[in-house]
Amino acid sequence: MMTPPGTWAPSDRVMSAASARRLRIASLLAPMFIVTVLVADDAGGAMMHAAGFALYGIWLALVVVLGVRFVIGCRRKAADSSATAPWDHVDVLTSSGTAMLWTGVAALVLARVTGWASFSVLGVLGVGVVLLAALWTACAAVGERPWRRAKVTRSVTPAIAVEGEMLREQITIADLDVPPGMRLFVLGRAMRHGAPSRYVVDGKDACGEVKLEAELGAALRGEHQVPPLMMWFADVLGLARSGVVYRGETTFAVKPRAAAVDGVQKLLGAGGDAQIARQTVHAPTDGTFRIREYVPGDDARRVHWVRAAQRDDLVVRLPDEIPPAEPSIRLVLDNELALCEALNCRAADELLDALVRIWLGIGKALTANGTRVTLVVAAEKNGAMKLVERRMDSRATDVVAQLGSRVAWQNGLTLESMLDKSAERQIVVSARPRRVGTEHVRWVVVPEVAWTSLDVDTVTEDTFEHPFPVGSPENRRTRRHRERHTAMVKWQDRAFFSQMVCWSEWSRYAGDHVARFDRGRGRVIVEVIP
Amino acid sequence: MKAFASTASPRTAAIKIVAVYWALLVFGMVLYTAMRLDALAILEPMWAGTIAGTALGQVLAVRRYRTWLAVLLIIAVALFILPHAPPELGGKRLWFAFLPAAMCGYWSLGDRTSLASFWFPAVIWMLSILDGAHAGAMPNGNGLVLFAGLAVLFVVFLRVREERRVALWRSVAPEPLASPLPMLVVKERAGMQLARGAWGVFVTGLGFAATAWLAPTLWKPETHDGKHVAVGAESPNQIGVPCCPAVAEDEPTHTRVKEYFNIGRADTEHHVSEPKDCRVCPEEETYASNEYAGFTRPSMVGDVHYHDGVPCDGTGHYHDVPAVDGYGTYTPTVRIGSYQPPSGTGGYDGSSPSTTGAGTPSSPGTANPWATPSQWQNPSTATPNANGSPYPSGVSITTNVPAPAAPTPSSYDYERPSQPTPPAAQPHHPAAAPTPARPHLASNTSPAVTHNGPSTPVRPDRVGGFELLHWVAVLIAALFFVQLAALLLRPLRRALVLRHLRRPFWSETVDQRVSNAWQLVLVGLRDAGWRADGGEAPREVAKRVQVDGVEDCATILDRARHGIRIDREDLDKMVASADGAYRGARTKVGRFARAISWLRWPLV
Repeated sequence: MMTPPGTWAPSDRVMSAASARRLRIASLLAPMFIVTVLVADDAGGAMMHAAGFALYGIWLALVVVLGVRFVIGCRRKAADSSATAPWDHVDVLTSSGTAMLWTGVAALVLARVTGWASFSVLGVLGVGVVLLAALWTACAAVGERPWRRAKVTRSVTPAIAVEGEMLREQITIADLDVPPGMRLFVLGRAMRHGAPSRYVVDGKDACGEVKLEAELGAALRGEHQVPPLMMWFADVLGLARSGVVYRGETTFAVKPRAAAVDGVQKLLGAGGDAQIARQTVHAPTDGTFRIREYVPGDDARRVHWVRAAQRDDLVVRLPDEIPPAEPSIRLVLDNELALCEALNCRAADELLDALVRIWLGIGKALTANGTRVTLVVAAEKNGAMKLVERRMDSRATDVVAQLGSRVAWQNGLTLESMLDKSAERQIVVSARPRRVGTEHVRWVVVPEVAWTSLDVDTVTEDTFEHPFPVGSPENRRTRRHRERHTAMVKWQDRAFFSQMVCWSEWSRYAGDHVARFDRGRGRVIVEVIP
Repeated sequence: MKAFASTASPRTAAIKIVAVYWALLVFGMVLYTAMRLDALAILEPMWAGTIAGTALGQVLAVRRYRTWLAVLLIIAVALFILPHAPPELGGKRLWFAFLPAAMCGYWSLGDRTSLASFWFPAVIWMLSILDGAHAGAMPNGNGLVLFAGLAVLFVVFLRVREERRVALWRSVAPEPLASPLPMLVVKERAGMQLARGAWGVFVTGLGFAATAWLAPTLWKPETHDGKHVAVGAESPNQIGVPCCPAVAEDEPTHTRVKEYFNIGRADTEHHVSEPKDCRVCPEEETYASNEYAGFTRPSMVGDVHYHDGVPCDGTGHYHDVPAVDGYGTYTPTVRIGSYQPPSGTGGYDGSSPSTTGAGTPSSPGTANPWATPSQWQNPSTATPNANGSPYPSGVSITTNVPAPAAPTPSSYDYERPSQPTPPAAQPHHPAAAPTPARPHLASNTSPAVTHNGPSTPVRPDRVGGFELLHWVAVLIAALFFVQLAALLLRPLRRALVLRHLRRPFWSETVDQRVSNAWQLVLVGLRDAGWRADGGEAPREVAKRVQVDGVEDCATILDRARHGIRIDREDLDKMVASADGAYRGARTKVGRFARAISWLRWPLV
C-alpha cells in the first residue's frame, strides 16, 4: 500500500528511503559472497559442504522467499497503483540487523586473518542469526496475510474538544495475526504539531484484542484529519522487520478558546458604541450644553461665570456627553496568506490560533457590551473557499466556535473582498495591516513576534557526551545530521514566514490598536497604537 | 481486561543488559578458572583486566561519553593506571584483557554493536570450549554443551538489548512524545506463548547448529612439535643402535585452536613409529653403577596391570611420566602388590617378572632394579586413590622418593602400537643386560612443549576440568525437572481449585460461594482468551464477552456486593449459571486451546 496523501512521515522513517534501503537490500546479498570467499578453504571443498549446509541453506531459502515476495509485489503494483512498492517486500533488514550482518562478515574476515576461534564463532553466529531472522520475517510477517482479519480502530477523545484541553488517543487492535517472535510497532501523530505517539505490543497480546492509550497533550485548534498509523512488525531480536502498513484514520475537531480581552471599548472610538452616553473628559473648562447649580466640592474651574452672573448664583457647567453611536460592527479575521501549508515551522499555526482567539475574544467582549457583532472570515465550505458571516450572540457560541475551528490560512479570498464597503464600522483582526480600498476600517494588529514561539528546539550538542543515552538510535550521526537539517529548514521557514507577516509601519496606523498578551493575568489587552 | 506496561523502562532494560553481560563474563571466568587451577598466576591478571575493563567501559557508556572520548579514557587508564597494578596482577596479560574488555563493555550498551560487544565474552568462553580440543576436530561433548550455552546466551543478550532499544524508542526522541498509558489486553489468543517458546528454541537451535557446523572449519590450528620420544627405550641418550628390545618411537605433536588469549591448553597427538633395529647390550652398558641414570620411569594412573611385562591400565593404554631430575641418587624400592618374582626369594634372577598372581614384596636391599622402575609413579602427578595416597592402588613406597620441583603434565594415552618384542634370547646370555618387561613408554622428556617462544600448556589426558560444568548441568537439570514437575502438576492443581469453586471442600458463606462461582466464570473466560481487570464492573464484563450465563452471574454478584439478600434459589442459579458460562466460554476455543488451558497458572 502506498503512503496515503497527507500521511505524516516521521523523521526516523524518512531516512529509510533510497540509499538506506539500497544498502539494506544489498546487505542481504553481498555479505554472503564475501562469506563464500572466507569460508572456502584452500581445497575449496569444505565450503560446499559445511557452509552450504548451514548458512547457504538459510540464505538460499531467504533469497527464494524474497524473490517470490518481490514478484508478487510487482504483480500487485501492476494491478493496483496504490499497492505497496515491490521493494518494500524485500526490505526486511533493520539497521541493527544490517550492522550485525556486516559485523559478522568483519568477524569472519578477522577470523581468517588471525585464526582466532572466537571471531569465527562470532561471525557465524551473527550472520546466521540475522539470516534466520530475515528468513522468518520474510516468510511470516511480510505481506498482507497477518493483516487480513485485523481490525484497527482509532479515536481521539474528546472527539470535539476545546483548545488547550488534554487529548487522549485510543487504539484498539483486534484479530491481528502476529507471527511468533514478532512485535508490533505502532507510530502516529494525531496533530500536525502535536506529540507523536509510539507503541510497542508483544505478539501474544496483539493477537487477541488490545487497547492502546496515550496522552497526546493539549489540543491544538482545528479540524484534524488524523493520518493513519504506521504499523509494522519487527522480530524480538531487532534484526528484521516487515513493511509498513497504514491503518487507523480518524478525525476530531478542536474548537478555539476565545481569549479574555480587555480594552475593547477603545475599538469603538470615542463614542464607545455603548448604550449609555459617555462624558468627554478633556478639560475642566469643557462643556457647553449642560449646567447645574454649584455643589461644594465642584471644581472651581467649571464655574460658568456668565450664567452665574445672570442668576446671581454659582452655576457650573457639566462635561459634554457623546451620544451612543453605531451599534453594529463587522469583525473581520484576516486569514489571507499564501504558502503557509508548505511551511514546516509551527509559527504559522500559532499565529493563526492567536488571531482566532483574539478575533473571538473581541467579538465576545463587544457583544457583552451590547454591540452587535458580525464575525466575518474566509473558510472552506464544500471544498471551496467562501466568505462566511456569523452573527455573534450568546446563543450562537457553539456555531461560532465551530467556525473558528475551521479557519485556516488561505489565499482564495482577499481581504478586500471580505470587507463591506457599505458598512460604517469594520474591525479587522490581522497580523499584517495593509492598505485596503475601504474607509472606516479599524485594525487590531496581532504582531507575529509577540504571538509565536521559536520552535527550533534542537538538542544541545555536547563535544564530549551524546545528547541521548548511549544505545539510542537518536545518537547516530545520520540522525543528528538530519535533526540539524530539520532545524535549519524550520528556521528558514520561520524566517520566511516572518518576512511574510512582517509589519513595521506603526506610524501609519497610529490610532489603531494592537493586541498584547498580559502573561501575568493571562488576558489579552487591546491598546491604541500611539 | 488486564492492564500492564508492555516493555520495561530504559533504565531497567539497561540493568538487564549489564546483568546478562556480567553473567556471561563471570560464568566464563569461573568455569575456566575451575579448569585451570594450575594456572592461577596466569589467570589472575586476565580476570583483573576483564573486570576492571568491563566496569570502566560500562560506566563510560552510562555516562554517555562519546566513543572517541571513551577510547581515550580507556587508553589513558591503560597507560597511566595499569602500570601501578600489583605485580601479581600486572603485566602483559592485564593489558590484553583490559583493553578489549573495556571496549566491549562500552559497546554492550551501544547502538548496533551487539555482535562486537559479544566478542570478549565469547573469547572467555572459548577458552573453556577449546580447552584441550584438537584443532581439526569439533570440541568434545562438554565443549559442545558450552557452545550451546554460548549460543543461547547470545540470543538472550540480543533479546535484552532489543528490549532496551524498544524502551528507548518509546521514550527518547528529539521532540516530546505522547505519554503512553498502560496497555489493556481485552482478549488474548490461546496457545501463543507456546508458539513463542517454540520459535525461540527454533532460532537458538538453528543458530547453534549452524555455528557448530561451520565455525570449526574456520579455526586455525597451532601445531607444536613435541620432543622425540623413544617408546620403551631404556637409555634413550645412548648413541647408535639402541639396545634390545626394539622400541617404538613417538614424535608427539601438540595442537590447539588459535585464540586471542594465548593460554589455552593443547591436545596431544602421538605419532608412534614401528620399532627399529636393536642390538644386544650388556647390562653394565645400560645401567652402570648408577641406578636409573637418565632413565625415565613409566607411571601408572589408576589401576595398574602388567601385560607382557608392560604396565598398562588394562585398556591398552600406556602411561608415561616426564623425567625427574636427580634420579641418579634415587634408589626406589617399590612394593607392587601384583608383582611376584619368579624365584620367590625376593631377589631377581634375571628372568622376566611375572605379572600374574600376588607378588611378594621385595626387601629394599634386594629389590630388582628392573621391577621397581616399571611400577614407579610420579607422586606429584598421580591421581590420589581412596586413601589419599598419590600412588596407584596397591603401590606403596618404602623409601624416600624425591618429588620433582615443578609438576608437569605426566601421562599420555595412545593405543599400543605393537606388541613389544619379548627378550627371549636374553636369559641365555649372562653378559647381556637383563631384559625385564620394559614399559613401552619410557620417555625422558617433559610433555610441556616449547615451540617458538613460550611454552604451550598441554591438557593432561583424561583431565577435563569440567567438574564445575557438570555441577552446573546438574543444577540446571534439577531446576528443569522441578519446573517440569510443577508444570505437570498444574492440571491437578487446577482440578482441585475448580472442584472447590463448584462445590467447596468445606462449608463457606453464601457471599463466598457467590464469589467462587464468579471466579469459575472468570476462569472459563480466561480460557477463552478474555481478561477481566479488577476495576471492571461485572456487568461490563458480561456485556463485553457475550457469553450465556455471565449476565446472570454478574447480576447476582452485584446484588451480593451491594448487600442485597441472596437466597437459596439465587445461589443455585448462580452456581448453575457459572458452570454453564464456564463451559460455554470454553466451547468458543478449539480443543488444543482447551487442552493448553489446563497447564495455565494463574487461572485468572
